[in-house]
Order: sequence, then structure tokens, then C-alpha cells
Amino acid sequence: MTRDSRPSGLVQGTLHMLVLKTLALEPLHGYGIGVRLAQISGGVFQVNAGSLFPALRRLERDGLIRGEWRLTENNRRARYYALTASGRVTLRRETREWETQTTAISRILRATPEEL
Amino acid sequence: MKARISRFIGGVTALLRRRQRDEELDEELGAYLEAAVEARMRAGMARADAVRAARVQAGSLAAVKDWTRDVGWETRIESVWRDVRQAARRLRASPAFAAAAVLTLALGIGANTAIFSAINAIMLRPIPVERPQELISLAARYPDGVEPIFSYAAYRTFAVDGAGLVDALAAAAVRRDAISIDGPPEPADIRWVSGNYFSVLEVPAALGRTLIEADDRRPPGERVVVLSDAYWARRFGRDPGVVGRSVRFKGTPFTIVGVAPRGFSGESPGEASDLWMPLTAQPGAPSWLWTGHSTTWLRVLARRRAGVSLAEARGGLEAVYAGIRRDIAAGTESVQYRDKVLESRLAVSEASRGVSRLRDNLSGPLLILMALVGLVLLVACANVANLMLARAAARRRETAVCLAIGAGRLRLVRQGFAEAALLAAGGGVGGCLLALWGASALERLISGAFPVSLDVSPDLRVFAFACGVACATTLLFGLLPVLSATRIDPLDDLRGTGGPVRRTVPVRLGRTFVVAQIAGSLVLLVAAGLFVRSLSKLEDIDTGFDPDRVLLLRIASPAGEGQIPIAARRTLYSRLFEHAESVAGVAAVSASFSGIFSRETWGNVIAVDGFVPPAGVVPRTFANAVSSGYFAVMRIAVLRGRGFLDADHAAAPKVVLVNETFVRQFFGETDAIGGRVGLCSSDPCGSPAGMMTIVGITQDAKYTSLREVTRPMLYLPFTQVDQTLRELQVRTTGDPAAVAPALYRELAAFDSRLAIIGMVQARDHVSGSLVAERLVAKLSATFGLLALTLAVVGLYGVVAYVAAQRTGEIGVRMALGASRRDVTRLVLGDTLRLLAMGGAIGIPAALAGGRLLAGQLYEVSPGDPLALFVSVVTLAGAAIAAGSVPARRAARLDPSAVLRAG
Repeated sequence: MTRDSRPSGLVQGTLHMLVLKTLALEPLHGYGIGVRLAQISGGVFQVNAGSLFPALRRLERDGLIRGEWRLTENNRRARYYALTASGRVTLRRETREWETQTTAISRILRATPEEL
Repeated sequence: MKARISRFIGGVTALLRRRQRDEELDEELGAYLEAAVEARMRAGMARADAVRAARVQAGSLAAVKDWTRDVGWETRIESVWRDVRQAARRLRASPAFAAAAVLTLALGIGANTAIFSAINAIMLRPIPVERPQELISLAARYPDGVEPIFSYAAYRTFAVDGAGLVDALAAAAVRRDAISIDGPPEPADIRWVSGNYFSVLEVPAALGRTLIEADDRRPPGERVVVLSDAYWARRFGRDPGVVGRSVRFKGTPFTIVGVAPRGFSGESPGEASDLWMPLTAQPGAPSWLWTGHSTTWLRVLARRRAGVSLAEARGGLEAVYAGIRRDIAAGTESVQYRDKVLESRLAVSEASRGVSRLRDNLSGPLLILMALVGLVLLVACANVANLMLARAAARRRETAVCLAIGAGRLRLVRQGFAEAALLAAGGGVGGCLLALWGASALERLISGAFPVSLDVSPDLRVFAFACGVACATTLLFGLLPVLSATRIDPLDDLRGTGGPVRRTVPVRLGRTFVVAQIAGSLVLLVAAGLFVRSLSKLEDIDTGFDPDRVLLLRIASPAGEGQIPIAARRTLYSRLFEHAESVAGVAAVSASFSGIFSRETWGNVIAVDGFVPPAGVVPRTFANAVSSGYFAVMRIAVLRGRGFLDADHAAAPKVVLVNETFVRQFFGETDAIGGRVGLCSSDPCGSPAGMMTIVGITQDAKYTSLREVTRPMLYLPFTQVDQTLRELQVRTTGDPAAVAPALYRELAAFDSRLAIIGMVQARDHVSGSLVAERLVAKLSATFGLLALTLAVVGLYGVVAYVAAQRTGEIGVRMALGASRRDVTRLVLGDTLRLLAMGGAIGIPAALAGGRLLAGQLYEVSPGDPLALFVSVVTLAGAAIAAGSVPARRAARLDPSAVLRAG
């Protein structure tokens, strides 16, 4: 099996931004993040473990999120991730960039011959 | 940037706490799965179904773990480490192979590193001064060679007229002479330098002060001296009270003003000085030394001023030299010399590594040795590559299994390289140890013959070189075997139907390596042969004197409280001879102005009655002042007439002896005995100082070196000239080494005005002049034999392997009626084919390589047939001997046993 077969429905990098956004609302553990993403996106994004955990590890390595062992509401140990200060800055910047890009892209897609 | 640092720290932490990290990831994934199961159970699934569904959704947890771990860079290190550990395990499983490979590589890397550390010490290391890259050295380039020394007047002109561009300093060559420090005279290495020597080099004093410009203003300069750190430690035990004390040189007191810093021994690597004194403070220096250009004796170095490029300095100083050139030319009448001077140009070169006679002498030989030893390393690499191939062949099945069950080829290649790297690392470590030993042996060889202090201790550069070589060897011997080992079809191998052995890649590659080894060692053997032949030609040169059983003692010019009158000096010498002859074991004693093969030669312009020189040619001769016993002690035959007698004293008629070349040059067919010769003090001769009568003709004898072309020679009795005697020749009745200690003791205590500053056996002194040649001959022969051994071992391995693979075929042949001789011929034929191919490459390569060596050979042509023949025969003999072992083994096969087994 090679790495290419890794399931991923999202553009690389976009997932990072979404995870950061999710954690900006409140600290969550791995499964919680997946559920929250699915919930907010209305079931469009189903993030599986194979994408989620490498993403979490990368974000943690880059110092954007911090993991911490805590008890869940069911009294189990789970690793909760929270946004760090630099994670917050990164999220703000990426959100801005994303908005600029999507605005530009949708303008291009909507373009009609008359506008040129 | 911040993210990068954070990533780095995270990786290091992960490496250090790997187990904990792994456990945490396991737990986290477990919690993830559990949460997924619970969520499904909350939605109403049975637990068993929920678990299955969650598992399916999450996919392989092992894969998730791998992907997560792979996010960090540290996993790459981990996998390299895994490869290395595995390689170490596999090497431990075959210790014989590992030992052979490491030993071979250690020899190759060690020899290279040893030679390199000598090159580093002599050719690469900058001298320990501030900003050495600003230093330049000056030399005059004549049509017939480079002269690196200048007159004092020329130096002053450079210093004054070039002051806008550079600060120039001057230094005379180090000379061993006698000084006295509250006691009898003792030897010390003295160097006369300009007053700005230390300030231009920017070397501060460790104690007191260094020399300053004011010490050296106008002759006579200040009588002050600076000690080297080594001399201060050796002679004064680092006594800080040494400043202000005085040392006497030729009866003149010099005040010690300071000590140079530790590690600084001058601007010439290898030529360390004990004492530095101002140029113009030399006692008894004649005034013409400071004004004329007739005596060249100073090296000129300079520091470029800030912002002056090498090209600018070159241009500016060339203009200064043009003036000097005109000056010199105007001062000579000799047309020949004037033309030569006017054609000369200034050579300005970068001198961050100082200037060194040792470097000039040894650079060529050392570079040749480096090339040869590099070739040895290639042969060694080919040998290890062959070992790797043989090993890969033995492990073919294992490799096939690995490939068949899905191991990536890249992975196998990485493992192979890990093995190669480990072997090279082992070889590198062993090589460094060997090099430490080899470099100090080299140091002894070199400094045993040159009066030098050489520091070949390895530094960072040597270490980096050894590492670089080890890495290069990894690629050299690892690349092809590792790649070919994995280029197999697992199916064929596992079915046991591999193609015919001789067609497979590894064997073909192995044969290529053997051919390369044979060619390489042939080149080395031929080079060694050429050098050995050249050395023996040099050793066979007839010196014209007999150096056996002769001790040479260097004596400083006699000095007491002041200058000693000539008559008293001559008496002192005569008493010295008598005293030396009274020592037990001494047969006869003589003395001379120029020593045997010394650098202190005496050349003179002469006038010969009846000889009219061609226009523009000034008759010149070498000259020497000798005592009456000189010809008997050195066994230089007096062919006609007589030698010197005691009757040839100062008041007697002036007489001289000349050598055969002198007679040929100035007398031709006419009889030289009774001819008259005069020494001239100007060039060309104005009026000779007084004509002397030739009373005898001696056999030609070498004067300055073995290689010199014999020149006219004029011998004068020391009683009739002003020259001091600098060398005592003592012929002993038995072994000179047995007489030496007593002789030295007796003469050292003989008279406080006479100092012995060196003693050597004439035989050692003469053969010492061949040290570079002997070094090259010895080492190249060693390298040649080493390469030959490796090549023969490699050849044996391949031939034996192929013969073993063909056992079945040979059995069939024998069963069908082939005789043992046919079988021997079959296997031996393989050896001969390899040998022929190696020779076909090696002989032209050796001939081409020989041409590169031509400059270092003496009366041996680069294509010397004897050297070539002996090398080829040696190589062929050794190869056939090695190849006949498997051939005999094959011939002894029992065909029925073979066929039953097959």
C-alpha cells in the first residue's frame, strides 16, 4: 500500500484551515473535530482518521494547536486540542486569503461576455 | 521561521521520547475508535456492529499511525538508523568479509590521509600570522629560472618605492651558527631580518618587545635579538627574566629584547629559527653588502596595504623592479649577465602559506605520491566492490525472497548502501589511525634529511579529507555492486533456473573490476620501477670522493671577545687538526671553506694567463679553500702534479690545484701545470689580485649536489687566503659512529673560541641529498606491491568463483574425455584473458602516466623498457600463480562424483 491511496476529500491545506476554525470555537478531541466538521458542513465533509491525525500532528508541530489529555463527558481520557496564539493569527490570515481567493474565483466563474 | 524552529524541536523531542510518543498515538487512536463506537451505539447499533462499522470507517489504524508519524522529519532519521543497525547485524554475521573489506579500505584511506597530511603541512597550511592572505612574496624570474632572493639594495628599493602599495620585509635564510650565553659557544639557528619583520607580519611579542624599524635603520643596526618561544623554553626554561640579558655572536654582545609568541617559528614552514636579529646589526659585514647588487641573500615578503589588490601590487612592484633591473644592469660589465638581468621580470605571488624551500623541493614528489596513492585507493575500492559482489551472489536467494514478498528495490538498495557506508566508516577510522602513524613516519623521513622542523599533525582539514575519502569510497565500491545485486528476477532465482552464471551481471561486473585492478596495479608497478631505476642511477653517480668512514663537522667561525687576527686563526685551525688527529680511531683530518654538498658555495670570476674568453663571456669557476690533507681525506685523486704541502704557507709562492673540467675548459690540450690563474674582485676582471701557479690537477668531484653538472673547480690552500674553514672532514679507521661521540666531546672542549655546530656522517649527508627521491621510490614501491596484492586477491576470487560455478560443466567435459590438462587450460585461460585485458589497458596507461613523471626522473626515460618489462613479468607471474590454484583444483575433480552430485 502506498501513501497515495490515502482517502482525502479535501484540498490539502484547506483541511488545516477548517480544523483551526473548528478549534477556534472550542477545544475538541480528534473524533469531536470530525463530527463537528461534518455537522457544520451539513455532512459534506466526512474527514476520516487517515487525514485527520496527520493534519493534527502537523498543526501541532507547527505550534498552531496544542494537545492536552483530558477527561471526556463519558469519563474517558482523550487528547483535546486547543488553538494557540499563533494558531489564531494563522487562522485569521488564512481566512482572509481564502475569502479574497473565493471572491475572485466566483467573480471569474460568473463572468459574462458583456462584462469584458 | 517560528514554525520551522517549532518543527525542529518537535522532531528532536519525538526522537528522544519515541516510545512515549508511540504509546500516546496508540491511546489517542484507541480513544478515537471508542468515541466512534459509542456514537454509533447511541444511534442504536449493537456494540459488535458498531465496532465493525467504526473500524471500516477508520481504515487500517496501522496505516493511520504510519501517516501520522511520517509528518515529522525525524522518521527519516529513524529509518536510516534502522538500516544502519540492520547492516551492522548483517556484517556481524559475516566477520571475515567485514574484516577483509575494512582492512583493505583502512589501508587505502590511511595511505591517502598520511600523504595528504604531509601535503597539508607543507603546501596548504597558512602561517600563523594575522590575515595571511594579504602576504605576497617577490622573486626575479630569469629566462633560465626563478631567483627568490635579492640584494639588500634591491630590498630597500622595494620597501621605499613600493611603500604606497605594500609593506615589504626581508629575511635571510636560517643559518646554524654559534652563539655564547655566559659560557662556551653553542649552536643556534639564526635568522637576520629587517626591523619591520614582526610588525609587517603583525606578530606581537609574548614577552618584552619584538624587533622594531629603528633597530634596523642604518648599518650598523641595534645589537638586539628576539628569541623564538621554542628556544626560550629549550634554552632558558621560559625564564621571564631573560629580557635584558645578553648573548654574544662572533664576540659581539646582543641584548635580548623579547620573545616571539608560541607557535610562530618564522615565515618559512619547516625552517624554524631560534633567534631573530636585525639585518644591519651583523658584526663585521662589509659595506658593499648594503650598497651593491653583487650579493643576493634576502627573501622579500610584503603585506598588501588595505584595498590594494594582488594585480595592483603586481603592477606597481613590477615598475619598481624595472628601476632595480636597470640599476643592476648598469653595475655589471658582463654582457651575458646584463642581458639576463634586463630580460628578467618580477614574479609576485600570493604567500599566505609563507615561502619555503622545503615546499619548493617536495611539492612535486608529494603530488606524485598523492596521485599514486589515489590509484591504490581505486584498486582497493575495486577489491572491496568485488567482495561485495561475491557476497551479493551468495545472498542471491535471500534477496530474491525479499523482492518476491514485496520489499521495495529502493529499500534493498538503501540497505546495501548502509552496509557500504558502515564498511567505509570502519575503514575511515582504521585509516585515520594508520595515517597518524604513517604521517609521523613521513615526518621522520623528511626531517631526518632536511634540517627542518615539520609539524604534520593532523588538523581539521586532514580530518575532513579522510571523511571525504571515506564517503567517496562508499560510492566507488558500493554503487555498482548494490545496484546490480537488486537487479535480479526473483522468479528465475526462486525456481532455481537462473541463466548461465557467466552471463549474469555481477560476474561480468566482477571481471571488469579485476581488469581495472590489474591495469591500476600495473601503472603503479611501472611508476615504482621508474622511480627505483632513477634512484639507483642517482646512487650510482660517481661523486669523485669517498664518503665512507668520514665524519663531517661544521664549525662556526672562530670568535672570542672580538675579531681574531688571521694569523692567530690559522694557528688555531692547525692546532685543531692536530688535536682531532690525536683522538683514538681517527686516521686523518682535513678542513675546507665550502663543505661537502653544502649550500655555502664560492664562485669567482677569474683571469687565466693565455686564455682569451669569447666576447661577452666572463670566465668563472667554483673555488674552495682547503687544508693540505683535504685530497687524501676525501680520496680525491691528484692526477698530475702535487697536492698542497705544509710548505705552502702564507709567505710562500701562491699555488692552486684545479680539476679536470677546469683544465678542459681553460687549457684545452695545453699543459695546465705551471699555468697561472688570478681571482678577480669585479665582473668582468679588472686586474686580478695576484696570479697563482697551478701545481696539480685533481679528478673531478661533485661540489654542491649529486645531480650537478661538474663545473671548473679551483682549490686554494687555506693558509694563503682569508676564508674561514667551515667544515672539518675526519676519516676514521673503523666505524665512524663509534668514534663520533669521543671526537665531538674532545673538539667541543678544545677551545672556547671554536664551536662545533653540527656533525654528520659523510655517507648519510650524501645519501640524505636524495631523500625526496628515496621517499618517492620507497613509497611508490610499497604502493605498487600493495595494489598488486589486492589485484591478485581479486583475480583469484573471480576465477575461483567462476570455476566453482562451472563444476558441473567441467565434470561433463571430463566424463566426455577431456584430459586434466584440458581442464587446467580451460580455467587458466580465464586468468590469462583477464590478465591480457588488464595489460591492454594498463600498458598504454602506464606509458602515458610515465610521461607525467618525466620531470622527476634522472636519466631514465618514461617508457623505460626494463621497468615496464619487470612490472609486466611480476604482475603476470603473480596473477598466473593465483589463477593456477583454482585451475589445479578443477583438474583434480572426480567427474563421476560431480555428475552424481549434480
